[in-house]
Amino acid sequence: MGDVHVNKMTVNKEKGQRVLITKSAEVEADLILRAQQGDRNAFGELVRRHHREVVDLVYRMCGDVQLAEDAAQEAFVRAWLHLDSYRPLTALRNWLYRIAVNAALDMLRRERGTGEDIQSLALHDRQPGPETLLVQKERAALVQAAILSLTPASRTVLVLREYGELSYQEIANILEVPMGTVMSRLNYARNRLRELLAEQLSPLEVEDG
Amino acid sequence: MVEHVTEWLNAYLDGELNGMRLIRVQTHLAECATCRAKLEGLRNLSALLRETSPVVEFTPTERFAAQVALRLPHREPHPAGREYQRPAWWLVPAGLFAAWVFLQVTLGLSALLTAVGQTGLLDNTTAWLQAGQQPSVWVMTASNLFAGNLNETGRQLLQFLGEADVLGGNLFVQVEWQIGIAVLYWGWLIFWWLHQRHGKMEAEAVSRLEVMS
Repeated sequence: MGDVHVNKMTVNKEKGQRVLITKSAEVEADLILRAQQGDRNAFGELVRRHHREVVDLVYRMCGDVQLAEDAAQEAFVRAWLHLDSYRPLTALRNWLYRIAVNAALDMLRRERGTGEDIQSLALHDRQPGPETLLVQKERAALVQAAILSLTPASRTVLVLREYGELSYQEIANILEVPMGTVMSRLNYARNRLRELLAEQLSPLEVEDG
Repeated sequence: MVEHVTEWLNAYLDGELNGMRLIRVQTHLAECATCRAKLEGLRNLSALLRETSPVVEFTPTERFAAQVALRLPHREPHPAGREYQRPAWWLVPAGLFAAWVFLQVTLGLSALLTAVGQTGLLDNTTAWLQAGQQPSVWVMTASNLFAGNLNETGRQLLQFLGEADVLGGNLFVQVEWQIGIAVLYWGWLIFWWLHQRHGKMEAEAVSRLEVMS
């Protein structure tokens, strides 16, 4: 009896989530339509909805807060200007990623040569604080530094996969490269990261076993 | 010697494999400890990458949205007229195709009637349809309709068209019509392709715009 009740609750919860997702998609579609017609408030709401994921993704790519926020702002401005060319066949998030990634790559090209190496970045972020926080911060800084040490091409694929959670096909579409290239760049990026992080972190983290 | 599936482990981890490839990797993983360990290593790396959130402070969403709002330039609303022009893209080839079908049917029927007429089965009931010394049916009809209103030039033009047998069964003229439709159709295809290409290049330019400093 109790089991039936729990099952019903689970089903209802799942249904509720599905309804919420559908509702959210409807709201987003409505916002996009209004923004395409020139409604700035609707576009503002879209910015609020996607701000964090876009900034986060770009930060993973360039490792600089200011640069990430500038590129994200630029991406939203470009998105506003070219909203007419957006087609609902692609998720808005992916479309924004595409624009943001290109904006970030442009910036990285300009910044090339001024990047710090993995060690200096790790040290740079080391700040006083409780020991656990320090460990977490250090680890995050090392991971970020390792990602930054990859070539821009493989780093972009890795970031889109790990943080953007996009499929290989979606990544191939965004970067306009074949699927095979996405796979080989991802293989390279992960192998390289395992080498880099194996040197820096506890062997258990990335041990082959 | 066992062939490892190392190159497919990333795709397997990301759920990108299917069909025979997936079964092959699954079967291999079930019996190969080395590949299982490598997969575990990749899984750990993925977990490590995702668990470490950036240790930095981003601008709060509201302030970021306000900053973006300040930078949004004025944008012309999407011209509604363009939507109405869209059907023209398929109406043109559809019209050409309809014209071609009409021509084929007309010529086919005409050939059939001629063939049947020559056998004498229809007596002379179809004689008026045959192109001959006399002007075509449509020329005669047009002459009768506009008899009172036609000036000299108009009459000459009509006579010329009648003699040239523009709508008649002349093989050369038939071929001309076919070529004309084909040229229009290919012309439209090229124009459409150029238009699409232009649109695509514009879209690419959008995504590669230089970042404003």
